[in-house]
Amino acid sequence: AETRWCSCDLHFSGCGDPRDLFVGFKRARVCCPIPRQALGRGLRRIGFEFIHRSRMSSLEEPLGLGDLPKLSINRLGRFCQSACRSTADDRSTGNYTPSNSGNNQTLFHSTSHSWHLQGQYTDSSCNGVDMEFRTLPQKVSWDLPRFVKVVEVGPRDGLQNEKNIVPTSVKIELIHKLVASGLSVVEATSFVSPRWVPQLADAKDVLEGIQHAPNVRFPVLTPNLRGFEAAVAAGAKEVAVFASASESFSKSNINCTIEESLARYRDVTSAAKKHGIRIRGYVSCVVGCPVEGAVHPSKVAYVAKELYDMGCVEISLGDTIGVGTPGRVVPMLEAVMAVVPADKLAVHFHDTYGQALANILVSLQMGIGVVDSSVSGLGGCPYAKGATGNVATEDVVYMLHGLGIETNVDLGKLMDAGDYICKHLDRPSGSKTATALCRLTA
Amino acid sequence: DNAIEGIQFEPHLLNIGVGEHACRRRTYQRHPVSNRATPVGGNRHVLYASYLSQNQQNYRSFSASSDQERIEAANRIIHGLPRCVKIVEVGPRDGLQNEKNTVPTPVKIELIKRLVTSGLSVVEATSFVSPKWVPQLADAKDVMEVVRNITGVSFPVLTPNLKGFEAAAAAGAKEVAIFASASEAFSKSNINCSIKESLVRYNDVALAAQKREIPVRGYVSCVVGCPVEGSVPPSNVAYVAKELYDMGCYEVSLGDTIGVGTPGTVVPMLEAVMSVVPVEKLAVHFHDTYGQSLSNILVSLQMGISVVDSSVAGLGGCPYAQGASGNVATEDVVYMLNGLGIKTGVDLSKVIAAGEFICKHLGRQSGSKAATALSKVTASASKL
Repeated sequence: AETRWCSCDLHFSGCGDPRDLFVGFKRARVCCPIPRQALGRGLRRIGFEFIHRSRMSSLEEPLGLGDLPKLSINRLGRFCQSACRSTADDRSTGNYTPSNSGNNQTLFHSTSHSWHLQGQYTDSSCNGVDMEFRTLPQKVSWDLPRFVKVVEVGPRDGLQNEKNIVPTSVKIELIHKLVASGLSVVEATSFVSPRWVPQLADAKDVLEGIQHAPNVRFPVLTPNLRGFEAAVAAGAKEVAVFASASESFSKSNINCTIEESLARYRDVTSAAKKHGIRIRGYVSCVVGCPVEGAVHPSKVAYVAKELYDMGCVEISLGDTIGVGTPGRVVPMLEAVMAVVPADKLAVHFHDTYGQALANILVSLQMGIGVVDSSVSGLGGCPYAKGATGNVATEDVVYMLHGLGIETNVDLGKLMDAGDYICKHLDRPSGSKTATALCRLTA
Repeated sequence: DNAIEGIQFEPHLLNIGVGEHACRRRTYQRHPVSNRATPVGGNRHVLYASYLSQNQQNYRSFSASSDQERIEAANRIIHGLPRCVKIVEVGPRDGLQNEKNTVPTPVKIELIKRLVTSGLSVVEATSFVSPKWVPQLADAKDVMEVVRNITGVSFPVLTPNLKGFEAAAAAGAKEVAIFASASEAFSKSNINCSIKESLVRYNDVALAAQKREIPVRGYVSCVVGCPVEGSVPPSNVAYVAKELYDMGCYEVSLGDTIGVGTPGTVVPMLEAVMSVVPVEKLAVHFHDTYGQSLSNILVSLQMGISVVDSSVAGLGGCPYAQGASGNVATEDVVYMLNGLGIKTGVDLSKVIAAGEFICKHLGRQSGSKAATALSKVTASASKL
């Protein structure tokens, strides 16, 4: 059997012709064939949630049936249990449609991709055995955000840390491809001295070369007032500043103490306010520092609050060396969220120790709704040669979609962007999702 | 290797039990929060309450209740986790079985020995399947002969049928493992029989094992997705897991064979299985093909699972996606568990050493990011 990646982004079997179905009170276009009976009962039950959800999702996008598995876990879990329990009820009221119950061979209706819609699975899979689905205590925190904004840092944080330098036209094309995949914030470049970051010496040309789309923002890094002025001259509408939660890292990375850097950034932010330019703040070393070791959450909270008070619209908390695990990340977030509102926070995890996705998951569980990532995991770690750096956007988007969280990102187009830049950098993708999906038989 | 040595954190935030010796397998704390197990449609407002409130409330003045919510959220997320997690090392079997290069018997034995010294208490040693299907493990008997003498550690071996079981028992195996699929199509394409037929086969194995007092570990494959069929209904998984458990398996390991699972699909699957098999008898076996395994493991821990399968250095590619990775790396799992303050009994540096050893012999790089980072980084950066 052929396996293809379905345009729903969720499952990987063949995609049928689109067809219209009534979902609750609305007509929806469905991209995978499912027998109407199997759909009917399940869809009626989740009709309400579906309507609300359809209001929240983009009306341009067809409501593919693949969207249904993206429903929040709370609903899925409860739906599964209640659906199983009420199969007997359905039978008694005559609504039950046993399409496969007599068939011992097929435990799974092959065209039914949404497992939770299959009302008859209790019968066929258990052969009439009475499966007791007790209501389990809800152990897991599933108050996840409905929508997560993915901030793409590949063109800046990624390329800045790659060995090979990429020509301006390639950078611009990469940014265009990233925008085409649906990302609404793409960090374009950095106005730091080319002496420190030769890879981004063409900052002005890149910023001037990208086509500005209506709802897409292109923050650029500005380490001081001079960089800020160069950015404004090149047409920047959003800038970013970087402070460290660790004193030693601040000294070794930008040659000044935390307080001195904050003073510098106050100049930048007041200038930015005069120009009506948004500022994004970054805090680095929020969990660990390559020099000092562990960083106390209160220091992170202090720096985050300072950046927030000086006018940053969003504070991105960065685990610069990737050493964080959920056990460290949660106390750190607790400390920061006590002084900065959760909706102003973003998380920027590095996957150097493979922990990024787990850290992102707990951040979502804590209520954070903005995640930074880099297409194809661009950007190695300057503190551990050969180790990886940024978490890969494809992997993050795969997880978010699997959790039922909207991102407005098209995974297929994102992978195209990743493919493009990896070819030019002549390196394999750092994204496991992209590697797996492009190697599946077509 | 206490991950938080020397840090002045409030102890309650990190759930480190000082002086705690008893390690309870299942430590689920019921928190006094609102009961969310209500029928469909009941708690809709809860689902987007956090989303809406973040946008509507004025956070400039924090009320005590939002602090409380945050602390409760943190409690739910990392404080209800098991105190100890048992790691089942499947590298020498599941790992080597899926590697292109075959490794000589002495190297396999040396690998197993090194894994044992790192503190792992269960190491899947080999597989008694026909060498026609798995040439990498044709030397099962020879490996078993040496390994059976190592005490204090379990060495389960895979036995696909009675014949394999007899060979395993004759070679001195003290624990066996059986594999069933939750997906019919995968069962047919992988072991050439339907799920029912495979369960009948395994029942014979289980009975024979019972007679000889050999414990049996059950595996369910394709618990989230199947390379042929697509998504797999959780009820199928629950059914197969229950059958294996009823046959006498002391533990059932739920495997996301192609690694497509995310917490969104893993949680419903676990809920279904946990309603028919006790959670302390369950293990999770995630593949990192899409990079999702650590977050899947984390939600499994949050659900109460306390046994995790993994493979040193992430050995074992994915046979369904050429070049893609397979098993999750033991080093990465141990790194995360250490960071969570969960006891594993495993010495991370020794596992890394075992991984380096086998990767040298296989001529490949480690599949573990933690191992790669730790072997290349200056000592001070790994203070955590």
